[in-house]
Amino acid sequence: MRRRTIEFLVILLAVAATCGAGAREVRIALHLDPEFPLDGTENVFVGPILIEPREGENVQSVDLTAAREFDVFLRKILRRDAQLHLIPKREDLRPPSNNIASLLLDADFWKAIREENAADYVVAASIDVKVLDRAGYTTEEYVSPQDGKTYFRQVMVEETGFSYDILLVVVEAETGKLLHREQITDFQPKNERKLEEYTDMFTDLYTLQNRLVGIFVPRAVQVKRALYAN
Amino acid sequence: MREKKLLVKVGAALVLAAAVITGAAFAGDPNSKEASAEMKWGFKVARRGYWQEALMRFEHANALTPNQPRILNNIAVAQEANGLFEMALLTYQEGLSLDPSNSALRRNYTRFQEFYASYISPPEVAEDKGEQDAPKDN
Repeated sequence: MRRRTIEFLVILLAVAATCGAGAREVRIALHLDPEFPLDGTENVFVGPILIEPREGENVQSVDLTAAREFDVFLRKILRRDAQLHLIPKREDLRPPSNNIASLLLDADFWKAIREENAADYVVAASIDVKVLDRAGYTTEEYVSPQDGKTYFRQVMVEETGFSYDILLVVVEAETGKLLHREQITDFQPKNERKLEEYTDMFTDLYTLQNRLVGIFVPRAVQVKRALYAN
Repeated sequence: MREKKLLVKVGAALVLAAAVITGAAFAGDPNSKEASAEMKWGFKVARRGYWQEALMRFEHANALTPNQPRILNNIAVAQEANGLFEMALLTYQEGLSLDPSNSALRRNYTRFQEFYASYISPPEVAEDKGEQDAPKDN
């Protein structure tokens, strides 16, 4: 009796395998057009990198460090990965406002950048960095393998690192017109082994890097799909 | 001895299943036979990366035997590979409306939705958002 059951199951599996053998996994590269294509001959000015104002809080040292680090990171990505021609950094750039929304309405500010630096496009950003250093208990559901009942248990949750909220804008310097706007959020876990915790705070952020590059140059994303062979 | 008998039975089942499937597909219909050949050829060239030709083959197969979820699945994948993302979305939906239980189609559609949401869905309208954020000078 038992043997027959096994035989039946084996045959059933064989039939099922034959029927489902048609679909096979293939890897494909999906090509994505840049959201703001440039031909590489344009002069691009990077800045200003503003700190997103928070109500009731003054600018902290971490905000200044984050803005400086982001400036370095953005320049590196745009030069190395997007291969754009960047105009050297201007330390004397003083925006009339620290609010990006106000700046976007001020066409003269962008036109002045063009006049002084011969810029075709300006890549500016407003950055909000939160230092997360939280640890605590949370309740989660748990199904016991012993009796199958659902229980609730307390688990320790630790969240330490930097949470980024970056608004990146591309402005046509000649007219001051906003051409592109990209909101990017990401999270970088804290590296306990680093001597200076704020150094390289934007490195290895795949989402951020991928989104930044994708604004200017074509990308290919590798995906898997099931394809029928017949 | 027992194992030998079992192997014979499994082999017979496989042959029977293959015969049933092939028979059902071709049952005297030249269109089905040609569509199957197109699907095979499309799959072959797709694996080599010739997705334009693959799409053409799958579309031809679809013209010969319309409303086949398997063919629509392949068309949708080829459309994705050719950058025709909006068309792929519609083709996946068409295929799923014909056979909601098709696991390959469902899996592909879920993966495509994730990709579409991450990379293709349009960003917020810049001007509108800019107007909404009331300028506050600090």
